Amino acid sequence: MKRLKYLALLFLFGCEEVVIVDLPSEQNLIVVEGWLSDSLGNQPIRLTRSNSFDAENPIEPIIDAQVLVQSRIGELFSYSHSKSGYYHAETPFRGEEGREYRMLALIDTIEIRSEWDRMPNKIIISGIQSFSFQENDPNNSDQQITIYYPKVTAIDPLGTRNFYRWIFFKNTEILNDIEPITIQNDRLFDGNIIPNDFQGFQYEAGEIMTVQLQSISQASHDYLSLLRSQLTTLGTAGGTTPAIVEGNVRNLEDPTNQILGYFGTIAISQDSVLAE
Amino acid sequence: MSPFYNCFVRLVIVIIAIQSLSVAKAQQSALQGNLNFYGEISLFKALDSLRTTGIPLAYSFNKLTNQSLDLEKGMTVKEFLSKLSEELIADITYNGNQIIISPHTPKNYTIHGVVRNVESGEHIIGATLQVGDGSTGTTTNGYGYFSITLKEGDYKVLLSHLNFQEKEITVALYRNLFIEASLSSKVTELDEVVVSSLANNRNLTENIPSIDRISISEADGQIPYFLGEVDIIQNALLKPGIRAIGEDASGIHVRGGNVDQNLTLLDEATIYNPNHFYGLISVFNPEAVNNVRIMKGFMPPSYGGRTSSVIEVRQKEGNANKTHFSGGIGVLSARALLEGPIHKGKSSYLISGRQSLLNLSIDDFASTSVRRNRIRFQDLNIKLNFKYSQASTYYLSGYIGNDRNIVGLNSTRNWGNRMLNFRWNYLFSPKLFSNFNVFVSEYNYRIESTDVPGAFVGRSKIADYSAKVNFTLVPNPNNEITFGIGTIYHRLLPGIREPLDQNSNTNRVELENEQGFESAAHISHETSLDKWSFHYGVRLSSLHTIGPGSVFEYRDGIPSADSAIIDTTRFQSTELIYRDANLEPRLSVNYRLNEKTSIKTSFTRTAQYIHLISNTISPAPTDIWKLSNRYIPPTVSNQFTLGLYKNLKNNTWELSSEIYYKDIENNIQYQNGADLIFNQNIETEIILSEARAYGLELYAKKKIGRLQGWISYTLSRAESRINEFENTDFVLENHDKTHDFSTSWSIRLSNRWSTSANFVYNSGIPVTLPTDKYVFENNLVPHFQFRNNGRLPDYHRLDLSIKWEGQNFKKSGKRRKNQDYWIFTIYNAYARQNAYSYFFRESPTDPGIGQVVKYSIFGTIIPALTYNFRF
Repeated sequence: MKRLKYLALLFLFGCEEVVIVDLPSEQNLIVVEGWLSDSLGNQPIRLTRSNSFDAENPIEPIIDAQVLVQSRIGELFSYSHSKSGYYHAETPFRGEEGREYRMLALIDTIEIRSEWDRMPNKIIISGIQSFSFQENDPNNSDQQITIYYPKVTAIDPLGTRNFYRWIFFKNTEILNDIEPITIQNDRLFDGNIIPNDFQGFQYEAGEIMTVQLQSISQASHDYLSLLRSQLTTLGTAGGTTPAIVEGNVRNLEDPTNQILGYFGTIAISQDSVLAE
Repeated sequence: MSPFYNCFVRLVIVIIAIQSLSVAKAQQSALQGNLNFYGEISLFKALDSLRTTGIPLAYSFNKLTNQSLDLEKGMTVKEFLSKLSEELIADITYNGNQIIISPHTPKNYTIHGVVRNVESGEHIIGATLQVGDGSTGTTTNGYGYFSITLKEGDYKVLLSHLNFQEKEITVALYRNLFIEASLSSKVTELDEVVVSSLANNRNLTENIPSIDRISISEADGQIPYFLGEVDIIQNALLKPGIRAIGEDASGIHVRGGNVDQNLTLLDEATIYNPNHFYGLISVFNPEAVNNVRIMKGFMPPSYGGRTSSVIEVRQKEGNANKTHFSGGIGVLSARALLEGPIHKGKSSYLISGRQSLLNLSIDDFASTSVRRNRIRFQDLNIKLNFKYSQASTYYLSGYIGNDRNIVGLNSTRNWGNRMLNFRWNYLFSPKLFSNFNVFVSEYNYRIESTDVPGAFVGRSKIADYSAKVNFTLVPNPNNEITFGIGTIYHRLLPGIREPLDQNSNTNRVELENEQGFESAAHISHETSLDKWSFHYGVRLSSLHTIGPGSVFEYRDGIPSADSAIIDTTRFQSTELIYRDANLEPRLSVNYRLNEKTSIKTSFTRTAQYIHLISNTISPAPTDIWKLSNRYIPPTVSNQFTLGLYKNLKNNTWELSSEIYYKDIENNIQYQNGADLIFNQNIETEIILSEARAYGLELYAKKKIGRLQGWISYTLSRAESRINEFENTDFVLENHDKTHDFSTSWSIRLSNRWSTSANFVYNSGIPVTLPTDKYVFENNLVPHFQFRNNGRLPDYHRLDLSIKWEGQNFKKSGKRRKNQDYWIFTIYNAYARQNAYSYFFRESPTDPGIGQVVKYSIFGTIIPALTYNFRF
C-alpha cells in the first residue's frame, strides 16, 4: 500500500534526479554475508568492509581473515579465502536439519562471532505449474503480450511457526530486480498451501522458470524483513524511516563496535517448469 | 414526635394559610377598586389620596421625586400602580398586605437571540454586537447564539461581520428580549474601502490566542490549490505553525506535534482520517463547509483529547428561505449541493456530494496491468435543522466518505469515514445556553485480495459513540461561565483477516478488540476587567478501558520482546482493564494596551488517550489506532504562548507575533524495523520519548479591500529524545522545519475578473543520510549510523489562479438568479522540482557505486480549469 502511493503519484507528475549531497564521514564497518544450506557444498561466506556511500571505488573485500563455522554438537568447519572476500569451506559439507550453527572469524585482531541459527525443516515443493495473463505491450500499446509466471504447490506444516524465502531463476540467472527479498511468515496460512501468486516475476514463452523455496529461521526472517524495508521503501512517503539493519554478528571485544550483515541457515527445496 | 404535636402543627399551618388567603383576597379587591381622582395630579397628592381610602401603601416623600401625572377617569388602583412601574416613576413591591412604593432603580435585562444570514436563514457564527459607543459588546458563539445583559434603557446595537453588511438596530430594553437579527451578505464593490473601525478587531479582543479561521465564503477561503481544488487543509498549511511533511497533506503537524495529535471534528464528530487521494485533498467538500477554526495554542477546557490542536469544521446548515443548487467540476472532482427550506424560515436541509474523476488518468499512465493503480473517492454530506421554538433548535448532520483503490489485477482496498451527529441547542433562560450532542463516528478499512490460493478479506475499524452536554451561562457582559460533561465510547477493531471463500488457503487471524470510555468534565470562566480579560478553567479527563481483553506480563515489567512474555491476564466483558485520569488546567490572559494593540499569554495542558500506530513518514489508510494502556501511557503536553497582536489602518491590517514552547511527555516512537502489521503485542515495538517544540510565528493579514491576503513566517524547532536516554541530546523530529514562509494574495481586477497567488518557501525537512554503503547478496545497502543528520533542499513553490465570473447583474441592475464562474489555476508555476525525499541506490551504469537520487512528486507546471455554478 505504502509503496503504491509513490507509484500512483509518480505516474502522474513525479520525477527523479541524481544529486550530489555532502554526506557524513564513513565508518568502515565489517560486513558478513553467509547462508549455510542443507545442500552439500562449500557454503560460501563473504567478508567485506563498508566504505563511504559516495565513494567512487567499490566496497573492499577482506581477504586475510581466519573463518570457521561451528555446530552446536562441536563440529568445526575450516574456511579459506577464495577470491573477492569469499571464503569457502575447505571440505564440502551440508547443514543438518534441527542443528544449530554459527560463524566465527578473526579479522586482524578483531574477533567476531554470529548468533546460533538452527537449520529449519525443509518444506517440499510437490508441484509447479506455469500460469499466464495478457497485457498491453509496453513497446506497442496496440498489441497484447502474454506474460508467464510460475506457481508452486507446497504445504506449510500445521502448528509450528515457519518462515520462508522465495528465490526465482530465469533459465540459470537469478531474477530479483522486481523484489530483491521475497519472504513470508506462516501466521496467516498456517497448515495451508503456501500462497505464491507472484505475478511480478515475469517470464516469456520458452524460458525455464525455476523456483526455490527456502525455509529460514525467525531471526533470519526478521533480518531480511528489515533489510528489505531499507532497500525498497526508503524515500517514499509511506516508507519506513531509515534505520541500521542490525544483523546477528557481534564484535566479541567491543560489542558497541557495529558489525553488519548476517550468517544464517537455509533448507532449500527447488523445482522448475517451462513457460508455456 | 407525638401524634398530638403533629396535629397541632398542621392546625397552625392551616390557620396561617386561611389568614393569608383572606388578606390577599382583601388586597385584591382593594386593587380592583377605581381611583377617586383623575386628570392632572401630582404624585405625592395621588399617593396621599389613595392612602386615605385605606389602601395599605408604604412610601417616603423624602426618597420619591414628585412629578405631575395625567390619569384617565375610571382607572383602577392596580392600573395606577402599573403605570407608575411601567413609566419608571416608581418601583412597586407587594409585601404581605402592604404595597411598598420606592424610587425606581434601573434593572438589568438580557438580550439574547441569534444572528442569521438574511438570504439563507443560516446562523452566523462570530458576528459582533456592539452596544452604544462600542465599549460593550459580545459575539455570537459557535452556534450563532448570543446573550448580553445590560441595564434597562434604549440602545443602539451595531451588528457586524466581515462578510456581511453592518446593521444597526434599536432596542428598548425594559424586559428580557429575544432578538432574531438578520444580516445581508456584502456585495463586494470594486472601490470598497470603507470599513467599520470597531467591527473587525475580534483578533484583539477574543480570549483564544493562536487561532486560525477559514471561512469558505470569504476570498481567502476560496483559494484554489492543486488541480484547482479549494481545500481547507491545504489552506491551513499556509497559516503559521501548520505544516505537512511533503507535498501532500496526509498528515499535518501543528507546532511540532505529531500527526495523530490533531483533533479533527466535523460538526463536533471526530474524523480519524481526513484525507482523500493519499492526502492531496481533504475529505471536507468545500461545497458543504461553512467555516473552520484551528486552535493550535490555547484550547478552551471544553476541548481536549489531543495534544497539539483542534481542527473544527462546521458544515453549512442549509438555506431556510430558498432552494438553491450549486456545484462545480474540475480535473480532480465534480461536486454538487442542493439546499432549501423544509418549512420556510424554520427548517432546512442540505445534501451535497462529490465524486473524483481522476481515476481514469492514473489508468492511462500505468505501464502494466500488474502495477495498475486505480483510485477514486466519494463524499456525501447531509444536514437537517429544525427550529422547534424560539428556545429550541435541532440539528442532524451526517457524512459518508470512501476511497477505493484497485491495485494490480486482484486487490481492492476501501477506506473511509462516516458519521451521524444529532445536536440540540436549547435556551433554558436568556442567560443559559445549552448544547446537547450525540454522535457516532466510524473509520473503516477493508482489503479484498482474490489472489489464489491465499484469497482473503481484511478489515479494521474504529468506532466512536459519544454523548456530551455543554452549558454557557452569561450572567452579565463581563462574565461567561461554560461547563459540561461528555464521554466517548471508543471501540477499536485493529484487524481481522479471513479467507475470502471456502477455497482460500488462508487462516482467520483476529487481533483482540479494544474498548474504553474517554470521559471529561470541564468548567471555565471568561471575565473582563477594564483592559484585562481572562479565560481560565480546568478539564478533568479520564480513560477507562474495559474487557474483554488480555494484558501481557513481561519479564521485569518491560515489554522488550514477544519472548519476554511471562504471563497473560485475561479480563471478562465489562471488567476494568486500565484507567487513568488527568487534570488539565487552562489559562489565557489578554491585556488591551490600547484600541489597536493587545498582549495575550496562555497555558494549556492536554492529555491524549488514543494513539496512531504508524512508523511511516506520513500516515497511510492502513494505520491503526490504539488506546492507552499499562505500557503506553497517555501523551501529555504543556504549551505556553505569548503574543502581541496589533491592528492597523482601521483594522484593515491584522498583525500578530507569537512565541510558543511545548513539551510532550510519552510521545510515541518505534523500534528499528518495528513490525506493526497484525501484531498483538504492539507495545514491544514502541519506545516512549520526550518531545519539545518551540518557535516564533509572525503573521500579517490584509483583510479588507480589493487586495486581500496574508504573509506568514515561522521560525521553529521540533525535537525529541528517547526516555531511556535522558542524558543524551535531543534529535530533530522528521517534521522539523526551521524557516517557513508563506504568503497568499488575491486581487479583484474588475467586477468579473480576479486573480490570486500563493508562494511558499521553507527549509527542507530533516533527512537521514548514509555514512556508508555495503553489499549484501549483490544488493547495495546504504548504512545509516546517525538519524536526521542532514536536510532536504529548501522548498519553494508559486501557485497562480485567475477567476472569471459570469454576469452577476441583469441590465436592469437586478442580481441574476444564476451565477457561475471559471477558475484557471497553475500549480507550481515555475516548475520547481522540489525534493520530496532522497533515495539511495546503486548506480544503474556503475555497479557498486552509490547514488543519491532526489525524488520530486511534482516536477512540472500543473494547470487546471474548474467551472462552478449556483442557481
